[in-house]
Amino acid sequence: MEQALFYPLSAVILVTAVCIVCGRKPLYSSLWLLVLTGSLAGLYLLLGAELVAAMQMICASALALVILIFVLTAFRESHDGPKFSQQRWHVVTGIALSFLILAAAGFAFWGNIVPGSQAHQSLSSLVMQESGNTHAVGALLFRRYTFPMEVTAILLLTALIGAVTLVKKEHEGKG
Amino acid sequence: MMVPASHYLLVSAVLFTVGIVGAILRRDALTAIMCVSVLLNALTLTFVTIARELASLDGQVIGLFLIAVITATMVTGLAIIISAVKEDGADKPERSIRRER
Repeated sequence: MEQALFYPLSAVILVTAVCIVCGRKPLYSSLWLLVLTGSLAGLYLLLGAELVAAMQMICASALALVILIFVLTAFRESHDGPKFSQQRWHVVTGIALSFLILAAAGFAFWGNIVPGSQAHQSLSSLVMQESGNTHAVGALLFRRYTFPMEVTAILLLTALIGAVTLVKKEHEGKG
Repeated sequence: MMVPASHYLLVSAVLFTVGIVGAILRRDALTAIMCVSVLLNALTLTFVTIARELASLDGQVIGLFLIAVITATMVTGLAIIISAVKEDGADKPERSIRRER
């Protein structure tokens, strides 16, 4: 069951990631990002992380939709965002970095660095609880990770205020 | 039958690579931001996979935090793009953001 879902989902994820990078317009890239976040939520479900999958669908997919609407409204004529200038060393660094990371990943994959797990049983017993593992994750969030959660709340609030300030300042400058 | 964790980690590594290459190579700011989002999603996948491997829920909690960080990143990035476009005028979006040499 897991295999039947994992390989198609990962194929969709990798193809959409390449489409995002190679897409000619941000409009299409944002559509592919929507597909990618949905498929990733499927992978999280396969891994037994229901709460993470739900948050992924709510937050990340909503963000992809926001980008889509942003592209449609802000760049109406060209559907094309602002551009960076590109130097040759960007290309060289990108290709070198990609080979480096892929080599490290291949080394970890074929060199069996990733430890085999003997511990699936205990987690599956956790997952198979009555309410799924959402209850356990929530308990962990509010007991052991209270301080990081509060910091995350402040981070989100700061991002919100920063976004409003950045956009509003321009309005006032023009007016 | 369970898929081994190394396969999940391989998908995550390839996703991370694609994201970082896109963030470096792509010229338009919106696609670069989307590539950064792909990159952070790969991190989340790694954390959730490791959580299953170690039979611990801490990785899932960190995955939740990472999703919040992705949200904050994208919101701030979009706001910066909006302010940059407004500064230069919306009719010439391609001239608004330049990387310094």
